[in-house]
Amino acid sequence: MSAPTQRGFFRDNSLSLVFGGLLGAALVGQAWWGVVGYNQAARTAGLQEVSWFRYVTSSDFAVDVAENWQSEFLQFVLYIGLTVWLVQRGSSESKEPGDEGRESDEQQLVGEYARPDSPSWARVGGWRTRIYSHSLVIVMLLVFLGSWSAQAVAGHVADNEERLRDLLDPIGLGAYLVSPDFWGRTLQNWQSELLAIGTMAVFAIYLRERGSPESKEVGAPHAVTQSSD
Amino acid sequence: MRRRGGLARAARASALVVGLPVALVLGGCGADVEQQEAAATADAFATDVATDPAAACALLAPRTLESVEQDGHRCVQALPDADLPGPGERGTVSVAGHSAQVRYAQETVFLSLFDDGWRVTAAGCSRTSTDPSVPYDCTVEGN
Repeated sequence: MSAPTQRGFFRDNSLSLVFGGLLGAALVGQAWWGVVGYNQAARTAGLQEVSWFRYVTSSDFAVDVAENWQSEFLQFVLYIGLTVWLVQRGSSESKEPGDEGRESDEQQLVGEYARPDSPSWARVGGWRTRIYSHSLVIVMLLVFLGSWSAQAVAGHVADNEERLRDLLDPIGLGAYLVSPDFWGRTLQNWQSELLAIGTMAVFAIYLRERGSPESKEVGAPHAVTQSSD
Repeated sequence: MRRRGGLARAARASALVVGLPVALVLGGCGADVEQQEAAATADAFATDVATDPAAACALLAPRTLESVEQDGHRCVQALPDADLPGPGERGTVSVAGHSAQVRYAQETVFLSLFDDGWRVTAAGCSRTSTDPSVPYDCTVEGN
């Protein structure tokens, strides 16, 4: 009887599992090409090449990973938070115009309107329901801040390593936080995330992907914001 | 009401947060030890230049050794003739990744980490500009 259960588990979680696998493959690929690039630069400078393990535990690898992670989580914080209050008419990524705001307890199934199978913190009221009502943004915000801090710390070390290689003085963390390297890494990621999510909100008005929950139905009118209720 | 968009993407992203702190901790481990080892190498080099040039030459990074010997002289002859300033009292030691800087009262030494330890990449270095973007001017350095 275990085979149907396993099939059910994989089918029920296929989206998370596939993205987890793709994440792992992409990280391995990034580490592989990263160590190749690092060692090419080391040979050019007549310095020591490093092992794969040494590279993936280095500040160079950490800052390259963290700068992308922080921007992804910032994207979610902004999008989840702003779509409470802002709308895009006709976009499947938006609420209906006129529905802006936190919505009623009845709409949100909290407190006395909670269903028997609602999460317990949605039912109990008080501070626990208030926290649970924002738990998605809170966690995303914390991960964003953690990733951005990690980018700052790892980027500081990586930048100083390059500065010392170039016979320059190292700089402190405070100076690094106002340096071109820190803000260049940060803003190049922010702009690409903002572009992607902004175009998604607009493209979803006019374009379709049959069967995807990220899209309206193929025949849904452009002016309809949410086509299925 | 059908909810689309953010939640599905948020769930897929939440698994990304585990590995990075581990890498940062591992990367930061041993920083003090590396600082001491870099300083010890720089101290030994500064001392050996005058007393044991062969030992000092053995502490040079390969590219720096090539540079010292580029005029056809062996390192043990060329290095003492390079007129490296006496280092004086040691000041701050900075390590970042595989690079290090050891400051002395009279000069600054730059090092890089190799499989067999720290090696001197530049010595007899001093600042010649108030612009922090201008590199140190070094008596001995790799090309």
